[in-house]
Amino acid sequence: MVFDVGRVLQIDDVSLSLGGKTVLSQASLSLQQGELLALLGPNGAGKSSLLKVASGDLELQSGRVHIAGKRLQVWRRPELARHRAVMPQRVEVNFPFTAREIVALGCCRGSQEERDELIEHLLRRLEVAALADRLISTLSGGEQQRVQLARVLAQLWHSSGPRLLLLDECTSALDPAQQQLVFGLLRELASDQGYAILAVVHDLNLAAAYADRLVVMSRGQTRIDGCPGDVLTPAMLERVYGLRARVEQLPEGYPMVVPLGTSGASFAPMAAAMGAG
Amino acid sequence: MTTEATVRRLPPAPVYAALLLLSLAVALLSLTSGAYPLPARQVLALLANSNAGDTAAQMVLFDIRMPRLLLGFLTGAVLAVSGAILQGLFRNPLADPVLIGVSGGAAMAAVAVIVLGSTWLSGWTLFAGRWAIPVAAFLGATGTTLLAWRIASRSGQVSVATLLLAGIAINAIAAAITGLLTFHADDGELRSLTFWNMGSLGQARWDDLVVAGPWMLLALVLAPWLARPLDAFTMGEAVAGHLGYSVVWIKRGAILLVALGAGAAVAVTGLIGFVGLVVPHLLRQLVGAGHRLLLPGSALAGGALLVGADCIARVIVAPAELPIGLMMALLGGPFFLFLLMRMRVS
Repeated sequence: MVFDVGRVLQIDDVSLSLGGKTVLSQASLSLQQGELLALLGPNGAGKSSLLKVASGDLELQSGRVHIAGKRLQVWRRPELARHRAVMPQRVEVNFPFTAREIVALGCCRGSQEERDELIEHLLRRLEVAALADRLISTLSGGEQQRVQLARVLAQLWHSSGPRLLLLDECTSALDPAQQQLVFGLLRELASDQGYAILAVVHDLNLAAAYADRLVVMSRGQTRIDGCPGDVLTPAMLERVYGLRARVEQLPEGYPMVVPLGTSGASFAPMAAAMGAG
Repeated sequence: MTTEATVRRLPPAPVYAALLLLSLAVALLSLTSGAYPLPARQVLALLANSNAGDTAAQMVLFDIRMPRLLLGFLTGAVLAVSGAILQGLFRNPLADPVLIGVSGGAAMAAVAVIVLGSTWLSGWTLFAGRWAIPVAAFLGATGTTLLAWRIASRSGQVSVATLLLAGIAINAIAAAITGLLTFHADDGELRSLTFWNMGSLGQARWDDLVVAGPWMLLALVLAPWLARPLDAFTMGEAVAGHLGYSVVWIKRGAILLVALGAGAAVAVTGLIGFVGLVVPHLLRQLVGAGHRLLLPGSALAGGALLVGADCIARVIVAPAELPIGLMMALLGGPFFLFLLMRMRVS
């Protein structure tokens, strides 16, 4: 097989069953250098499983995964860690590490001064610098999530060559302003630094505003792949999510989804809530 | 955000210096305390020139107290470091070598030799002689740990949760067998096995050090190599893998080090609890949870604590002496409870 140099992640026909249940069936996607791809789909569609196959947490049963043109299984772990970083949905830390110490676990190279500088920089960028010397267990869920993201970013910051970020709902605990902050930073890393970013996202409008491309999963398959304007249509939302919605094309150049209720519901949610009150 | 919530870490150099000074002070105390009067001045003179003073003093210092001090320090260091390693590996601040079967297996084997040494196992006692009990205890300790490991492995993967459960079950079985042997024991055997279970440094000789010391030293010297991977492990195996560590080999290495080091310690001293639990816990409050400081710090503090407790055990009921395992539990238990209650208040 010949690979495009810019193709950082290539997943072909990956199928997976866990405990007899089919989780992924012939899922495929590819990710270019400099691209921010949002992986969408209803709960249980297989988004996290596909990400875990790419991160090596789930063993590949059938199909192929290539990172920077090299099969995932032949990468040596320490080398892979310089090119690929992973942010799981939840990270629990049971010991008294401070936020700064957690971020430090992500940076293994460079002199002490360089590392300290990088940690400081990332903590500031993610607006958690003021919390740097607090124990991670005393931070709120959203604060912990940003500290973990800083650790994940630190891992690749000074790497040369392809850089792949796999993010599983990395903004799930963040307020809207912080979600914008994080996705703004990710957008910048992709466009300016050439990061390839695969992000599992639930917020359709966040995905529409920041991603170059959306892939929608349903029942373990990667069904739809395209730019936000083409993918986010009322018909798709109805079919895949069972969601009735209006889609507005914003002057900013991307679509916005306005949910109206689930399929079969006769009232818009706001009207229903008012009626109940 | 309040300022009280921020954590100030003590800089490592002063902490090490303090622990080193403490270790030296406790070592000197250990060399001077005991039934034979040997003041610090005389100890230092003898250490500078081994021919100074009379032969009785030389013998007491070099043949009795010195091996006892070194064995005590090494044992404390290894037990504390083992505790720190397992706590990181299991992501649980309550883990210690007891949990993976080290103590249970060692006790079962030692008690078997004590009770059956003159009958069923007479061949072994004849063959191993003075080493019958320690070598059996070492094999028991490492054997049960590896058994727990085998049970928890499936197609090359080891689940630490299963390892923990397997350790608990194997401990229960070992305890039951130990109980059966105890039931079978006569009065003299009961006395020996009871004392073995309470731990002792009283029989420490140079040859104990020669036989058990290398395993303990090996564990101590190799432990720092686990420091960075263990830091990553505290966020879970998956994250450690993402950060580039070979999760399988880290687990193998950690369990093997603990089985060899703690197994050797238990073999020559009997059961000594609490060091592995209390020392890493305390140090985490002082230097933080990072293993690069925690592991060497635990070695120094664990060694000093055990030697210190041994000094008290030697003089508190002189001319007899309390078993060191008992002393550790008497000191460590209430202290640990005090810490727990203080933590709940704050």
